[in-house]
Amino acid sequence: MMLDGTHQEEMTAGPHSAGGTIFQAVVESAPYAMLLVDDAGEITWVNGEAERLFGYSRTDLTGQPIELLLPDRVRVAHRMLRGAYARDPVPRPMGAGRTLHARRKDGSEFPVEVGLKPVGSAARPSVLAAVTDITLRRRAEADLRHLNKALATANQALRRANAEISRKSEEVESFVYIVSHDLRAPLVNLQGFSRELEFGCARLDQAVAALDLPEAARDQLKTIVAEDILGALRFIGASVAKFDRLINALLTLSRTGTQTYRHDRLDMAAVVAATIDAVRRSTEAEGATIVVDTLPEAFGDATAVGQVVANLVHNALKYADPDRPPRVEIGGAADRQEAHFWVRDNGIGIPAHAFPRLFQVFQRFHPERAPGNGIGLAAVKRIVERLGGRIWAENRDPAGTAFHFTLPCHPPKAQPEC
Amino acid sequence: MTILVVDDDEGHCELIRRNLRRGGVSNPVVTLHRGEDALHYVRERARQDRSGEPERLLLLLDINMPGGLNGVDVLREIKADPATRKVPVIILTTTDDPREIGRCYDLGCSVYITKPVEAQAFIDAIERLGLFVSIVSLAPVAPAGTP
Repeated sequence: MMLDGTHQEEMTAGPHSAGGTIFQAVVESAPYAMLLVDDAGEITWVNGEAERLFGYSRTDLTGQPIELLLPDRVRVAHRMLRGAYARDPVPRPMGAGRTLHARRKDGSEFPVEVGLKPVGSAARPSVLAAVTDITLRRRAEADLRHLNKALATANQALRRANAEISRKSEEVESFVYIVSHDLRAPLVNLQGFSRELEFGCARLDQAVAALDLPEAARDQLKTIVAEDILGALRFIGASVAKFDRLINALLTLSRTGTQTYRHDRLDMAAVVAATIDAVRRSTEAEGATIVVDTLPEAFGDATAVGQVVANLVHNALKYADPDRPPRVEIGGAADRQEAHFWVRDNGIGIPAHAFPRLFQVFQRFHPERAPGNGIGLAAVKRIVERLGGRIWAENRDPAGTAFHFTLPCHPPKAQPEC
Repeated sequence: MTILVVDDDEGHCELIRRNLRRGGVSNPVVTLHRGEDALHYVRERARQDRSGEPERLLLLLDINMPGGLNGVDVLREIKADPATRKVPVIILTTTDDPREIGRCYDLGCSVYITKPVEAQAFIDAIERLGLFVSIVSLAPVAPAGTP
Protein backbone atom coordinates (compact mmCIF):
# COMPACT_ATOMS: atom_id res chain seq x y z
CA MET A 1 0.00 0.00 0.00
CA MET A 2 1.31 3.41 -0.93
CA LEU A 3 0.31 6.40 1.00
CA ASP A 4 1.53 9.92 0.68
CA GLY A 5 0.71 13.18 2.26
CA THR A 6 -1.91 14.00 -0.32
CA HIS A 7 -3.90 10.88 0.38
CA GLN A 8 -3.54 11.37 4.04
CA GLU A 9 -4.82 14.89 3.69
CA GLU A 10 -7.73 13.49 1.76
CA MET A 11 -8.47 10.91 4.40
CA THR A 12 -8.17 13.24 7.33
CA ALA A 13 -9.92 15.99 5.49
CA GLY A 14 -12.75 13.73 4.41
CA PRO A 15 -13.11 11.59 1.30
CA HIS A 16 -14.85 14.05 -0.93
CA SER A 17 -12.54 14.28 -3.92
CA ALA A 18 -12.64 11.67 -6.69
CA GLY A 19 -9.14 10.26 -5.81
CA GLY A 20 -10.09 10.16 -2.14
CA THR A 21 -13.16 8.07 -2.85
CA ILE A 22 -11.22 5.39 -4.76
CA PHE A 23 -8.47 5.35 -2.17
CA GLN A 24 -10.94 5.09 0.66
CA ALA A 25 -12.74 2.25 -1.06
CA VAL A 26 -9.43 0.38 -1.25
CA VAL A 27 -8.46 0.81 2.38
CA GLU A 28 -12.01 0.22 3.55
CA SER A 29 -12.07 -3.17 1.92
CA ALA A 30 -8.57 -4.13 3.09
CA PRO A 31 -8.62 -7.44 5.00
CA TYR A 32 -6.83 -5.91 7.97
CA ALA A 33 -7.57 -3.11 10.39
CA MET A 34 -5.93 0.20 9.46
CA LEU A 35 -5.46 3.10 11.78
CA LEU A 36 -3.84 6.44 11.22
CA VAL A 37 -2.15 7.83 14.31
CA ASP A 38 -0.70 11.33 14.60
CA ASP A 39 2.55 12.34 16.31
CA ALA A 40 0.71 12.88 19.59
CA GLY A 41 -0.48 9.26 19.53
CA GLU A 42 -4.07 10.16 18.73
CA ILE A 43 -6.12 8.13 16.33
CA THR A 44 -7.18 10.33 13.43
CA TRP A 45 -8.76 7.76 11.11
CA VAL A 46 -9.72 4.04 11.01
CA ASN A 47 -11.18 1.68 8.41
CA GLY A 48 -14.22 -0.57 8.74
CA GLU A 49 -12.17 -3.65 9.58
CA ALA A 50 -10.68 -1.71 12.54
CA GLU A 51 -14.19 -1.00 13.82
CA ARG A 52 -15.12 -4.66 13.48
CA LEU A 53 -11.89 -5.96 15.00
CA PHE A 54 -11.80 -3.73 18.05
CA GLY A 55 -15.53 -3.39 18.60
CA TYR A 56 -15.47 0.42 18.65
CA SER A 57 -17.30 2.66 16.23
CA ARG A 58 -15.33 5.07 14.12
CA THR A 59 -16.47 8.03 16.23
CA ASP A 60 -15.48 6.20 19.43
CA LEU A 61 -11.95 5.82 18.19
CA THR A 62 -11.25 9.08 16.45
CA GLY A 63 -9.35 11.45 18.77
CA GLN A 64 -8.57 8.67 21.29
CA PRO A 65 -4.97 7.75 22.19
CA ILE A 66 -3.82 4.61 20.37
CA GLU A 67 -3.14 3.04 23.80
CA LEU A 68 -6.90 2.62 24.12
CA LEU A 69 -6.49 -0.42 21.93
CA LEU A 70 -3.73 -1.97 24.06
CA PRO A 71 -3.85 -4.08 27.24
CA ASP A 72 -3.35 -1.99 30.38
CA ARG A 73 -0.01 -3.60 31.22
CA VAL A 74 1.72 -2.35 28.06
CA ARG A 75 0.23 1.13 27.77
CA VAL A 76 3.04 3.03 29.50
CA ALA A 77 5.76 1.15 27.68
CA HIS A 78 3.99 1.68 24.38
CA ARG A 79 3.84 5.39 24.88
CA MET A 80 7.63 5.46 25.26
CA LEU A 81 8.23 3.19 22.30
CA ARG A 82 5.91 5.31 20.20
CA GLY A 83 8.10 8.31 21.00
CA ALA A 84 11.17 6.41 19.85
CA TYR A 85 9.50 5.42 16.60
CA ALA A 86 8.49 9.02 15.94
CA ARG A 87 12.14 10.06 16.19
CA ASP A 88 13.23 7.39 13.67
CA PRO A 89 10.21 6.57 11.55
CA VAL A 90 10.85 3.76 9.02
CA PRO A 91 8.39 1.22 7.64
CA ARG A 92 8.71 -1.95 9.77
CA PRO A 93 6.76 -4.64 11.53
CA MET A 94 6.13 -3.82 15.14
CA GLY A 95 7.46 -5.80 18.09
CA ALA A 96 9.79 -8.08 16.17
CA GLY A 97 10.26 -11.40 17.97
CA ARG A 98 7.53 -10.76 20.51
CA THR A 99 3.87 -11.64 20.58
CA LEU A 100 1.87 -8.45 20.53
CA HIS A 101 -1.59 -8.24 22.02
CA ALA A 102 -4.41 -5.80 21.35
CA ARG A 103 -7.53 -5.16 23.38
CA ARG A 104 -11.13 -5.00 22.24
CA LYS A 105 -13.76 -2.68 23.61
CA ASP A 106 -15.13 -5.52 25.75
CA GLY A 107 -11.68 -5.86 27.39
CA SER A 108 -10.78 -9.17 25.70
CA GLU A 109 -7.31 -9.49 24.28
CA PHE A 110 -6.07 -11.10 21.09
CA PRO A 111 -2.68 -11.61 19.44
CA VAL A 112 -1.87 -9.28 16.55
CA GLU A 113 0.68 -8.52 13.95
CA VAL A 114 1.24 -4.81 13.29
CA GLY A 115 2.94 -3.14 10.34
CA LEU A 116 4.00 0.47 10.71
CA LYS A 117 4.57 3.01 8.02
CA PRO A 118 5.35 6.70 8.53
CA VAL A 119 3.09 8.93 6.44
CA GLY A 120 2.14 12.56 6.32
CA SER A 121 4.29 15.63 6.01
CA ALA A 122 7.18 16.81 8.15
CA ALA A 123 4.81 19.33 9.66
CA ARG A 124 2.16 16.75 10.47
CA PRO A 125 3.88 13.36 10.77
CA SER A 126 1.60 10.41 11.16
CA VAL A 127 1.93 6.64 11.29
CA LEU A 128 -0.29 4.23 9.45
CA ALA A 129 -0.71 1.01 11.41
CA ALA A 130 -2.04 -2.15 9.72
CA VAL A 131 -3.27 -4.64 12.31
CA THR A 132 -3.98 -8.34 11.63
CA ASP A 133 -5.68 -10.64 14.12
CA ILE A 134 -3.42 -13.69 14.26
CA THR A 135 -5.51 -15.71 16.75
CA LEU A 136 -6.21 -18.42 14.18
CA ARG A 137 -2.62 -18.55 12.99
CA ARG A 138 -1.39 -18.78 16.58
CA ARG A 139 -3.86 -21.55 17.26
CA ALA A 140 -2.74 -23.40 14.12
CA GLU A 141 0.89 -22.97 15.16
CA ALA A 142 0.08 -24.29 18.63
CA ASP A 143 -1.82 -27.19 17.10
CA LEU A 144 1.15 -27.92 14.85
CA ARG A 145 3.54 -27.83 17.79
CA HIS A 146 1.20 -30.10 19.69
CA LEU A 147 0.94 -32.50 16.76
CA ASN A 148 4.70 -32.52 16.28
CA LYS A 149 5.16 -33.32 19.92
CA ALA A 150 2.55 -36.07 19.75
CA LEU A 151 4.27 -37.41 16.64
CA ALA A 152 7.63 -37.45 18.40
CA THR A 153 6.06 -39.24 21.36
CA ALA A 154 4.37 -41.75 19.06
CA ASN A 155 7.64 -42.31 17.20
CA GLN A 156 9.42 -42.94 20.44
CA ALA A 157 6.70 -45.37 21.54
CA LEU A 158 6.98 -47.11 18.17
CA ARG A 159 10.73 -47.44 18.54
CA ARG A 160 10.30 -48.85 22.02
CA ALA A 161 7.61 -51.25 20.80
CA ASN A 162 9.84 -52.36 17.93
CA ALA A 163 12.73 -52.99 20.27
CA GLU A 164 10.38 -54.89 22.56
CA ILE A 165 9.04 -56.98 19.68
CA SER A 166 12.48 -57.91 18.46
CA ARG A 167 13.52 -58.76 22.03
CA LYS A 168 10.38 -60.86 22.51
CA SER A 169 10.89 -62.57 19.21
CA GLU A 170 14.47 -63.42 20.18
CA GLU A 171 13.12 -64.72 23.47
CA VAL A 172 10.57 -66.87 21.70
CA GLU A 173 13.21 -68.18 19.32
CA SER A 174 15.57 -69.13 22.10
CA PHE A 175 12.64 -70.61 24.03
CA VAL A 176 11.66 -72.71 21.03
CA TYR A 177 15.26 -73.79 20.65
CA ILE A 178 15.61 -74.83 24.29
CA VAL A 179 12.24 -76.57 24.42
CA SER A 180 12.97 -78.48 21.23
CA HIS A 181 16.25 -79.67 22.66
CA ASP A 182 14.71 -80.64 25.98
CA LEU A 183 11.93 -82.53 24.20
CA ARG A 184 14.47 -84.49 22.19
CA ALA A 185 15.96 -86.11 25.30
CA PRO A 186 12.85 -88.09 26.39
CA LEU A 187 12.14 -88.82 22.75
CA VAL A 188 15.53 -90.49 22.36
CA ASN A 189 14.51 -92.81 25.21
CA LEU A 190 11.14 -93.62 23.64
CA GLN A 191 12.87 -94.29 20.33
CA GLY A 192 15.72 -96.29 21.83
CA PHE A 193 13.74 -98.40 24.27
CA SER A 194 11.07 -99.15 21.66
CA ARG A 195 13.86 -100.67 19.62
CA GLU A 196 15.06 -102.51 22.70
CA LEU A 197 11.58 -104.03 23.04
CA GLU A 198 11.71 -105.07 19.38
CA PHE A 199 15.03 -106.79 20.04
CA GLY A 200 13.47 -108.39 23.11
CA CYS A 201 10.57 -109.67 21.01
CA ALA A 202 12.98 -111.17 18.49
CA ARG A 203 14.77 -113.00 21.28
CA LEU A 204 11.48 -114.10 22.78
CA ASP A 205 10.48 -115.54 19.40
CA GLN A 206 13.71 -117.46 19.20
CA ALA A 207 13.30 -118.73 22.78
CA VAL A 208 9.73 -119.81 22.08
CA ALA A 209 10.79 -121.58 18.89
CA ALA A 210 13.39 -123.51 20.88
CA LEU A 211 10.80 -124.66 23.43
CA ASP A 212 8.90 -127.88 23.15
CA LEU A 213 5.34 -126.51 23.34
CA PRO A 214 1.94 -127.63 22.10
CA GLU A 215 1.05 -125.98 18.74
CA ALA A 216 -1.83 -123.93 20.26
CA ALA A 217 0.32 -122.52 23.05
CA ARG A 218 3.10 -121.66 20.60
CA ASP A 219 0.64 -119.88 18.30
CA GLN A 220 -0.79 -117.97 21.23
CA LEU A 221 2.66 -116.81 22.32
CA LYS A 222 3.52 -115.81 18.75
CA THR A 223 0.32 -113.80 18.50
CA ILE A 224 1.03 -112.01 21.76
CA VAL A 225 4.46 -111.03 20.52
CA ALA A 226 3.51 -110.17 16.93
CA GLU A 227 0.22 -108.41 17.53
CA ASP A 228 -0.01 -107.24 21.13
CA ILE A 229 3.55 -106.14 21.71
CA LEU A 230 4.93 -105.36 18.24
CA GLY A 231 1.57 -103.91 17.16
CA ALA A 232 1.67 -101.52 20.09
CA LEU A 233 5.28 -100.70 19.34
CA ARG A 234 4.39 -99.76 15.77
CA PHE A 235 1.95 -97.15 17.09
CA ILE A 236 4.54 -95.86 19.52
CA GLY A 237 7.08 -95.79 16.71
CA ALA A 238 4.77 -93.83 14.41
CA SER A 239 4.04 -91.29 17.16
CA VAL A 240 7.68 -90.95 18.03
CA ALA A 241 8.52 -90.37 14.38
CA LYS A 242 5.86 -87.69 14.15
CA PHE A 243 7.06 -86.09 17.39
CA ASP A 244 10.56 -86.11 15.99
CA ARG A 245 9.45 -84.40 12.78
CA LEU A 246 7.64 -81.70 14.75
CA ILE A 247 10.65 -81.02 16.94
CA ASN A 248 12.96 -80.88 13.95
CA ALA A 249 10.54 -78.54 12.28
CA LEU A 250 10.57 -76.26 15.33
CA LEU A 251 14.34 -76.32 15.38
CA THR A 252 14.46 -75.49 11.69
CA LEU A 253 12.09 -72.60 12.22
CA SER A 254 14.00 -71.18 15.17
CA ARG A 255 17.16 -71.44 13.08
CA THR A 256 15.48 -69.60 10.19
CA GLY A 257 14.80 -66.72 12.53
CA THR A 258 18.29 -66.35 13.91
CA GLN A 259 20.41 -67.07 10.86
CA THR A 260 22.36 -64.14 9.43
CA TYR A 261 21.59 -63.62 5.78
CA ARG A 262 23.76 -62.14 3.09
CA HIS A 263 22.55 -59.37 0.79
CA ASP A 264 24.38 -60.22 -2.40
CA ARG A 265 23.44 -59.28 -5.94
CA LEU A 266 21.69 -62.42 -7.13
CA ASP A 267 21.53 -63.74 -10.67
CA MET A 268 18.06 -65.17 -10.06
CA ALA A 269 18.14 -67.24 -13.25
CA ALA A 270 21.21 -69.04 -11.88
CA VAL A 271 19.73 -69.38 -8.39
CA VAL A 272 16.52 -70.89 -9.77
CA ALA A 273 18.41 -73.12 -12.20
CA ALA A 274 20.63 -74.47 -9.42
CA THR A 275 17.53 -75.13 -7.31
CA ILE A 276 15.35 -76.89 -9.84
CA ASP A 277 17.95 -78.74 -11.90
CA ALA A 278 18.18 -81.31 -9.14
CA VAL A 279 14.46 -82.06 -9.30
CA ARG A 280 13.83 -81.39 -12.97
CA ARG A 281 14.92 -84.77 -14.26
CA SER A 282 12.81 -86.81 -11.86
CA THR A 283 9.78 -84.53 -12.19
CA GLU A 284 9.90 -84.49 -15.96
CA ALA A 285 10.14 -88.28 -15.96
CA GLU A 286 6.83 -88.20 -14.08
CA GLY A 287 5.26 -86.02 -16.75
CA ALA A 288 5.62 -82.69 -14.95
CA THR A 289 6.86 -79.57 -16.73
CA ILE A 290 8.84 -76.76 -15.11
CA VAL A 291 9.08 -73.57 -17.17
CA VAL A 292 11.41 -70.75 -16.15
CA ASP A 293 10.81 -67.33 -17.69
CA THR A 294 13.24 -64.40 -17.73
CA LEU A 295 14.00 -63.34 -14.15
CA PRO A 296 15.16 -59.94 -12.91
CA GLU A 297 18.13 -59.72 -10.61
CA ALA A 298 17.56 -59.18 -6.91
CA PHE A 299 19.45 -58.77 -3.65
CA GLY A 300 19.51 -61.49 -1.03
CA ASP A 301 21.10 -64.68 0.18
CA ALA A 302 21.54 -67.24 -2.62
CA THR A 303 21.13 -70.25 -0.34
CA ALA A 304 18.07 -68.86 1.43
CA VAL A 305 16.39 -67.72 -1.80
CA GLY A 306 17.16 -71.16 -3.24
CA GLN A 307 15.34 -72.67 -0.26
CA VAL A 308 12.35 -70.44 -0.91
CA VAL A 309 12.17 -71.41 -4.58
CA ALA A 310 12.74 -75.10 -3.80
CA ASN A 311 9.96 -75.06 -1.25
CA LEU A 312 7.47 -73.35 -3.55
CA VAL A 313 8.30 -75.63 -6.50
CA HIS A 314 8.11 -78.65 -4.21
CA ASN A 315 4.67 -77.52 -2.99
CA ALA A 316 3.49 -76.91 -6.55
CA LEU A 317 4.43 -80.47 -7.52
CA LYS A 318 3.19 -82.00 -4.27
CA TYR A 319 -0.29 -80.56 -4.65
CA ALA A 320 -0.70 -81.39 -8.33
CA ASP A 321 -4.11 -82.26 -9.71
CA PRO A 322 -4.13 -85.97 -10.62
CA ASP A 323 -6.37 -85.16 -13.62
CA ARG A 324 -3.70 -83.20 -15.53
CA PRO A 325 0.06 -83.29 -15.91
CA PRO A 326 1.63 -80.80 -13.47
CA ARG A 327 3.00 -77.61 -14.97
CA VAL A 328 5.03 -75.16 -12.89
CA GLU A 329 5.91 -71.70 -14.21
CA ILE A 330 8.54 -69.54 -12.55
CA GLY A 331 8.63 -65.91 -13.60
CA GLY A 332 9.51 -62.44 -12.41
CA ALA A 333 9.42 -58.71 -13.07
CA ALA A 334 11.03 -55.70 -11.43
CA ASP A 335 10.10 -52.09 -10.93
CA ARG A 336 12.16 -49.35 -9.33
CA GLN A 337 11.33 -50.46 -5.79
CA GLU A 338 11.54 -54.24 -5.80
CA ALA A 339 11.88 -57.44 -7.76
CA HIS A 340 8.75 -59.57 -7.89
CA PHE A 341 8.80 -63.34 -8.52
CA TRP A 342 6.09 -65.94 -8.86
CA VAL A 343 5.76 -69.71 -8.88
CA ARG A 344 2.52 -70.75 -10.59
CA ASP A 345 1.01 -74.20 -10.88
CA ASN A 346 -2.07 -75.91 -12.26
CA GLY A 347 -2.61 -77.97 -9.11
CA ILE A 348 -5.54 -78.41 -6.76
CA GLY A 349 -5.40 -74.87 -5.40
CA ILE A 350 -5.72 -73.57 -1.84
CA PRO A 351 -9.06 -73.93 -0.04
CA ALA A 352 -10.55 -70.54 0.79
CA HIS A 353 -10.56 -71.19 4.53
CA ALA A 354 -6.82 -71.85 4.42
CA PHE A 355 -5.69 -68.41 3.29
CA PRO A 356 -5.65 -66.63 6.67
CA ARG A 357 -3.39 -69.31 8.18
CA LEU A 358 -1.45 -70.27 5.07
CA PHE A 359 1.91 -69.09 6.36
CA GLN A 360 1.44 -70.16 9.97
CA VAL A 361 3.47 -72.93 11.48
CA PHE A 362 2.04 -76.47 11.66
CA GLN A 363 -0.83 -75.70 9.29
CA ARG A 364 -1.62 -78.45 6.81
CA PHE A 365 -4.51 -78.08 4.44
CA HIS A 366 -4.16 -81.23 2.35
CA PRO A 367 -2.69 -83.72 4.85
CA GLU A 368 -4.15 -86.58 2.79
CA ARG A 369 -2.21 -85.47 -0.29
CA ALA A 370 1.35 -85.68 0.85
CA PRO A 371 3.43 -86.04 4.01
CA GLY A 372 4.79 -82.88 5.53
CA ASN A 373 5.48 -81.17 8.80
CA GLY A 374 3.57 -77.95 8.20
CA ILE A 375 6.71 -75.89 8.44
CA GLY A 376 7.60 -75.15 4.81
CA LEU A 377 5.55 -72.03 4.14
CA ALA A 378 6.15 -70.64 7.63
CA ALA A 379 9.89 -70.93 7.06
CA VAL A 380 9.59 -69.50 3.54
CA LYS A 381 7.74 -66.46 4.85
CA ARG A 382 10.34 -65.89 7.53
CA ILE A 383 13.16 -66.09 5.03
CA VAL A 384 11.49 -63.72 2.57
CA GLU A 385 10.68 -61.20 5.29
CA ARG A 386 14.15 -61.41 6.77
CA LEU A 387 15.51 -60.61 3.32
CA GLY A 388 13.29 -57.53 3.17
CA GLY A 389 10.54 -58.91 0.94
CA ARG A 390 6.89 -59.94 1.10
CA ILE A 391 5.12 -63.15 0.20
CA TRP A 392 1.51 -63.91 -0.68
CA ALA A 393 -0.56 -66.46 -2.55
CA GLU A 394 -3.66 -66.58 -4.72
CA ASN A 395 -5.67 -69.16 -6.56
CA ARG A 396 -5.64 -68.99 -10.35
CA ASP A 397 -8.48 -69.06 -12.77
CA PRO A 398 -9.57 -71.70 -13.70
CA ALA A 399 -7.26 -73.83 -11.54
CA GLY A 400 -4.00 -73.81 -9.66
CA THR A 401 -2.13 -71.58 -7.28
CA ALA A 402 0.31 -68.72 -7.67
CA PHE A 403 2.80 -67.87 -4.94
CA HIS A 404 4.36 -64.42 -5.21
CA PHE A 405 7.34 -63.04 -3.35
CA THR A 406 9.39 -59.89 -3.59
CA LEU A 407 13.02 -59.15 -2.89
CA PRO A 408 14.89 -55.84 -2.79
CA CYS A 409 16.35 -54.82 -6.13
CA HIS A 410 18.83 -52.41 -4.55
CA PRO A 411 21.71 -53.18 -2.22
CA PRO A 412 20.69 -52.60 1.40
CA LYS A 413 21.33 -49.20 2.93
CA ALA A 414 22.89 -48.87 6.36
CA GLN A 415 20.95 -50.78 8.98
CA PRO A 416 17.98 -48.77 10.22
CA GLU A 417 17.78 -47.89 13.88
CA CYS A 418 15.22 -50.52 14.71
CA MET B 1 40.41 -99.27 27.20
CA THR B 2 37.43 -98.03 29.18
CA ILE B 3 34.57 -96.14 27.57
CA LEU B 4 33.25 -93.45 29.89
CA VAL B 5 29.71 -92.35 29.05
CA VAL B 6 28.73 -89.02 30.64
CA ASP B 7 25.06 -88.20 30.26
CA ASP B 8 22.57 -86.89 32.79
CA ASP B 9 19.84 -89.07 31.26
CA GLU B 10 20.06 -92.60 32.66
CA GLY B 11 17.98 -93.94 29.79
CA HIS B 12 20.46 -92.55 27.24
CA CYS B 13 23.37 -94.15 29.13
CA GLU B 14 21.61 -97.49 29.20
CA LEU B 15 20.77 -97.29 25.47
CA ILE B 16 24.37 -96.46 24.62
CA ARG B 17 25.61 -99.39 26.70
CA ARG B 18 23.17 -101.80 25.05
CA ASN B 19 23.86 -100.55 21.52
CA LEU B 20 27.62 -100.85 21.99
CA ARG B 21 27.27 -104.38 23.30
CA ARG B 22 24.95 -105.31 20.48
CA GLY B 23 27.37 -103.78 18.00
CA GLY B 24 30.06 -106.05 19.38
CA VAL B 25 32.03 -103.50 21.38
CA SER B 26 33.21 -105.39 24.46
CA ASN B 27 35.23 -102.71 26.25
CA PRO B 28 34.20 -101.91 29.82
CA VAL B 29 31.63 -99.11 29.87
CA VAL B 30 31.38 -96.76 32.85
CA THR B 31 28.43 -94.35 33.02
CA LEU B 32 28.31 -91.11 35.01
CA HIS B 33 25.50 -88.56 35.16
CA ARG B 34 27.20 -85.41 36.42
CA GLY B 35 29.88 -83.25 34.87
CA GLU B 36 31.75 -82.95 38.20
CA ASP B 37 31.90 -86.71 38.62
CA ALA B 38 33.12 -87.10 35.04
CA LEU B 39 35.92 -84.57 35.54
CA HIS B 40 36.97 -86.20 38.78
CA TYR B 41 36.99 -89.64 37.13
CA VAL B 42 39.05 -88.47 34.14
CA ARG B 43 41.61 -86.71 36.36
CA GLU B 44 41.88 -89.68 38.66
CA ARG B 45 42.45 -92.02 35.70
CA ALA B 46 45.07 -89.67 34.26
CA ARG B 47 46.92 -89.66 37.58
CA GLN B 48 46.88 -93.46 37.78
CA ASP B 49 47.85 -93.87 34.11
CA ARG B 50 50.79 -91.49 34.30
CA SER B 51 53.24 -94.34 34.53
CA GLY B 52 51.42 -96.68 32.15
CA GLU B 53 49.81 -96.41 28.72
CA PRO B 54 48.56 -92.92 27.96
CA GLU B 55 45.29 -93.46 26.12
CA ARG B 56 43.29 -95.77 28.32
CA LEU B 57 40.05 -93.84 28.30
CA LEU B 58 37.52 -92.74 25.70
CA LEU B 59 34.95 -90.17 26.69
CA LEU B 60 31.42 -90.06 25.28
CA LEU B 61 30.22 -86.70 26.53
CA ASP B 62 26.68 -85.29 26.39
CA ILE B 63 26.96 -81.63 25.46
CA ASN B 64 23.72 -80.64 27.21
CA MET B 65 23.66 -81.41 30.89
CA PRO B 66 21.55 -79.24 33.16
CA GLY B 67 22.94 -77.84 36.39
CA GLY B 68 26.55 -77.87 37.56
CA LEU B 69 29.21 -78.48 34.94
CA ASN B 70 27.71 -79.16 31.53
CA GLY B 71 29.41 -80.99 28.67
CA VAL B 72 30.98 -77.80 27.37
CA ASP B 73 32.53 -77.04 30.77
CA VAL B 74 33.85 -80.58 31.15
CA LEU B 75 35.37 -80.54 27.68
CA ARG B 76 36.99 -77.16 28.31
CA GLU B 77 38.51 -78.35 31.59
CA ILE B 78 39.81 -81.55 30.03
CA LYS B 79 41.36 -79.73 27.08
CA ALA B 80 42.95 -77.12 29.39
CA ASP B 81 44.78 -79.65 31.57
CA PRO B 82 47.98 -81.11 30.02
CA ALA B 83 47.42 -84.31 32.01
CA THR B 84 44.02 -84.95 30.42
CA ARG B 85 44.31 -83.06 27.12
CA LYS B 86 44.94 -86.21 25.09
CA VAL B 87 41.87 -88.12 26.26
CA PRO B 88 39.80 -88.69 23.13
CA VAL B 89 36.32 -87.17 23.37
CA ILE B 90 33.23 -87.85 21.26
CA ILE B 91 30.44 -85.37 21.79
CA LEU B 92 26.87 -86.64 22.10
CA THR B 93 24.10 -84.37 20.85
CA THR B 94 20.36 -84.90 20.63
CA THR B 95 20.07 -83.04 17.34
CA ASP B 96 22.25 -82.40 14.33
CA ASP B 97 21.56 -78.72 14.83
CA PRO B 98 24.39 -76.74 13.23
CA ARG B 99 24.60 -74.47 16.27
CA GLU B 100 25.35 -77.46 18.52
CA ILE B 101 27.84 -78.89 16.09
CA GLY B 102 29.47 -75.49 15.70
CA ARG B 103 29.85 -75.38 19.46
CA CYS B 104 31.66 -78.73 19.41
CA TYR B 105 34.02 -77.53 16.70
CA ASP B 106 34.71 -74.35 18.66
CA LEU B 107 35.77 -76.52 21.59
CA GLY B 108 38.27 -78.35 19.43
CA CYS B 109 36.19 -81.50 19.17
CA SER B 110 35.37 -82.48 15.61
CA VAL B 111 33.70 -85.80 16.31
CA TYR B 112 30.11 -86.02 17.43
CA ILE B 113 27.34 -88.59 17.45
CA THR B 114 23.64 -87.84 17.33
CA LYS B 115 21.67 -89.76 19.94
CA PRO B 116 20.47 -92.49 20.19
CA VAL B 117 23.95 -93.87 19.68
CA GLU B 118 23.94 -96.68 17.15
CA ALA B 119 26.93 -98.97 17.36
CA GLN B 120 27.86 -98.24 13.74
CA ALA B 121 27.82 -94.48 14.37
CA PHE B 122 30.07 -95.07 17.36
CA ILE B 123 32.50 -97.15 15.34
CA ASP B 124 32.50 -94.54 12.55
CA ALA B 125 33.30 -91.85 15.12
CA ILE B 126 36.15 -93.91 16.55
CA GLU B 127 37.52 -94.34 13.05
CA ARG B 128 37.35 -90.62 12.49
CA LEU B 129 39.37 -90.18 15.67
CA GLY B 130 41.92 -92.53 14.12
CA LEU B 131 41.73 -94.72 17.19
CA PHE B 132 39.84 -97.72 15.94
CA VAL B 133 42.54 -100.34 16.33
CA SER B 134 43.80 -99.10 19.66
CA ILE B 135 40.43 -98.73 21.28
CA VAL B 136 37.72 -101.04 20.13
CA SER B 137 37.82 -104.66 21.12
CA LEU B 138 35.10 -106.26 19.07
CA ALA B 139 33.44 -109.36 20.34
CA PRO B 140 32.88 -112.18 17.82
CA VAL B 141 30.22 -111.04 15.33
CA ALA B 142 26.78 -112.07 16.55
CA PRO B 143 23.73 -112.60 14.30
CA ALA B 144 21.51 -109.52 13.95
CA GLY B 145 18.87 -109.15 16.60
CA THR B 146 20.89 -110.82 19.32
CA PRO B 147 22.87 -109.08 22.04
